[in-house]
Amino acid sequence: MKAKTQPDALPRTVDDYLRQLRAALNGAPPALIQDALADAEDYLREEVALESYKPESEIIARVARSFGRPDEVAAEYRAVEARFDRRIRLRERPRSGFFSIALDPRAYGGLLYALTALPIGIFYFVWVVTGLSLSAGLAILVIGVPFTLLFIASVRLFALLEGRIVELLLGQRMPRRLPSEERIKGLWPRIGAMLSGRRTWSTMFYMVLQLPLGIAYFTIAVAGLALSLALIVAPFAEMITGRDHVRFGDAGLDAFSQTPLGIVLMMLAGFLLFFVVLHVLRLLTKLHGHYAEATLVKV
Amino acid sequence: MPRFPETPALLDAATFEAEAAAFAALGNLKAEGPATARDLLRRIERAATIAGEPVLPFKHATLYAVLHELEFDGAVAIAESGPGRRPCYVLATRGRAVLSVGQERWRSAHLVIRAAAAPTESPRP
Repeated sequence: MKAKTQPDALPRTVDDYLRQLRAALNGAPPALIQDALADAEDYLREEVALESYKPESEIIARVARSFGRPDEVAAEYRAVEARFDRRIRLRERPRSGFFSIALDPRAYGGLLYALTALPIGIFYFVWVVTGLSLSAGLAILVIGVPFTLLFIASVRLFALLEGRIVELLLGQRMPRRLPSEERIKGLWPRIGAMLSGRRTWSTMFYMVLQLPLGIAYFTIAVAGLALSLALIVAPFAEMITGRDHVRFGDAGLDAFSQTPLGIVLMMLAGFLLFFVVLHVLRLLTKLHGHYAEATLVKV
Repeated sequence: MPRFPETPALLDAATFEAEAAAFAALGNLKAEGPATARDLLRRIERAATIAGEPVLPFKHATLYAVLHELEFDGAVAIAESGPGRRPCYVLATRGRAVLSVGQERWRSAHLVIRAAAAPTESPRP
């Protein structure tokens, strides 16, 4: 983390202020930087709009006293984040041991994420593919531009929504605000900036890739859970119904699975498999959280 | 706007300011209903001025930062988007509980500090 020894000269414009704030937040989590910049821009732009008859430098100087200088604001956000991280770590203190995963709320968050990833992934994929196709198709018509702008705005909203889901279920710090945008004058330069923005395309890439990833997560979760629960429950089902529910395709193995030792081993295997599935999903979704942060956050 | 005097370095000013901002926000949301961060600040400033203390004990940025923490902790929720897509905060059930415990803690701390700082008659041997 880069420590700033001396605060920069007081900013004179909103863009200056945001630049200094971004520099002061260097090394902080990207989502924190995005949120701090969005908050600061929201505050500064409103102050400037309220007193538009005054020089911007005068307003910024006053704001630096009430809202805080960029380095003070950065320190404030870092302090809040550090305190919050400490609380989260205390609440979710990692427990060692293979079976302790059963007490980890993030494991169940990961499981829920894996189960919902497929329908959400299908929706994202259809949305992006349809939106891109229609944007390209309508580009020669008058409604082409507003349609493309609406589509890009919707993609940004979905990025925020996905970030909230990832933070809630997977515990990865994600933005809580839409990113601040540089004020670009003119419709065409703005459209150009939106289309050339790295985040616009990385978000679409994320949404498209959610389909194959969603299929993989869903398959692992459903197949793993179904197999482990089947192995645990099958002996009871066989006792109640008197029918053979588990077949391994091998006469010797099938016969062994009917014996008391076979039944115990089968239940044990199902029990262990359940924990393995939780571990695998926890690891996969943790990695997914980092990937989501790298793809969806604008810094 | 005048700045609240800085706390001497031996005390953790950041935590004090953040806690003050958090309880001011929760209290105002309870008293005056949902608001955006900017409206909350205006309302808190107005209330503080009426109460005779126009200098807030925290920077405005502290309130913005603390609202993120309160939101993730479930003490406040975002009810709707305010003007300009700004989030509009509403006090959640957990926030009410946090506020009532915090207010009581601050009230008793304030009483103790005032009492301790006031000269008292020492008991005669």
